[in-house]
Amino acid sequence: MHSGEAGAMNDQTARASSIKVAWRTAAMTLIGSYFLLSPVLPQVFDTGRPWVRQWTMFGGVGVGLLKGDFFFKPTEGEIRRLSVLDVHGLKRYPVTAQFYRYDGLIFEDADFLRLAAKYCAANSEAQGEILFKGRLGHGKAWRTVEYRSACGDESQ
Amino acid sequence: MRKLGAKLTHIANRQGSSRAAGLLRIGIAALALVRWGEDVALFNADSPGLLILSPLFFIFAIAMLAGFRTKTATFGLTLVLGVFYFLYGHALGMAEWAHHHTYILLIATALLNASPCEKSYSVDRWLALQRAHRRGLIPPPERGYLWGQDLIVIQMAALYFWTAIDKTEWGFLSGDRLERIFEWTYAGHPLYPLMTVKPLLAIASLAVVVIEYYLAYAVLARKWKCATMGIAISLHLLFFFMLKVDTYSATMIVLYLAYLNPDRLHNMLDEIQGVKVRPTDRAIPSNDVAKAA
Repeated sequence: MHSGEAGAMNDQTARASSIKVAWRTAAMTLIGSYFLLSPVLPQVFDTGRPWVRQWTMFGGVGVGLLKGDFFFKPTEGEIRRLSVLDVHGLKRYPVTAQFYRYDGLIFEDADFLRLAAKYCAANSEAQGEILFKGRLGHGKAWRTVEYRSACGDESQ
Repeated sequence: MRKLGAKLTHIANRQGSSRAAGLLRIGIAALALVRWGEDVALFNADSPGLLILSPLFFIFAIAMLAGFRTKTATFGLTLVLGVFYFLYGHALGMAEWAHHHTYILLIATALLNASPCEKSYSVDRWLALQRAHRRGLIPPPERGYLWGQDLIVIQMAALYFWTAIDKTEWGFLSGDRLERIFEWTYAGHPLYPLMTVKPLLAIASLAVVVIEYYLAYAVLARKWKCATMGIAISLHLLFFFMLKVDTYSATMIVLYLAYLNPDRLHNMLDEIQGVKVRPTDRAIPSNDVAKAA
């Protein structure tokens, strides 16, 4: 190989290397900046979902969940205190399933009436009023709530 | 500005041992199989789209795990996981595939495309050694560009920072949000009374936020590595132990392979395997940088 040809090849190799270096630097800078800055869109400006990932893990777990006491006031007899799980007819929540798949969550008053009706139907001897006093998972915290429903309310 | 440019050029073009990337590849492919394997196995693939994606997923994931045609397999798996996350997860409403733990698996797989993950602990490596042996050449080096691993570290730091930002509000710091999570997870459990003690919840919430801010900085700045690894792994194991986190904790722990100094890890693995030869202790700039300079 002539020295001129070898020199040209070296120049070409150096140019190709320099392009690769610049490409890698640009790609890393752009992707790294995207990772660091892009969550500002969904988390601060509430836009960009789903294409931009927000890092708000477990933020929705507990929304619609009741915490407190149920009271069943029969037409005749003494008031009975019930746990939230008693009314749901559960020993534990189905924790191996996804939270948002659980159909016993309370997002509006109608959901509470449905839950009360379910309890009434499962306890056919229950005749009376169901009360709940406690808190409801709402937004990013709890909200104090009080619900009341008579057995058979939902069908009215 | 010029200094910053030079620093970025150095970081993006430095090379090091490929063993950390090889181990990362194995861990991420195994976790992808755990996360989606049952969901897209043939008995669950009952739509035309999944009938096509199911075999592709298994072929790419298993090839990536074994390190056979690794570059193609990693690229293929990235595309398949992208379809799972964006199309099925978001567009078609399969919410379980649109979680943060699935996204982090997708991103880790995507970034492995920019790593030398095929050069260590792979069938490709074994075939390359056989070829070199037949031709009487020296074994190919277990080295490559580290920018893919560096981007994984940046993604981890961003995740910690933005999740800490999300938690920096009274609802979380007062323990209310943690109480809701534990209400769902532990109601009816023998430890429920202990798990819902309000002062403990507030202390735990504050600790989580402080640790996440610390990790965001320490991971990105690569500071106090031993302490950072210890704190991070303990935190993720605690999440794993106490909550339903799917593959999230395991993925984050595996990703810390990208945080380690790849050449030190290489040396340590040599020592574990009784190999006396020690490669260089620190990453060296690539040939490309040298030539370009």
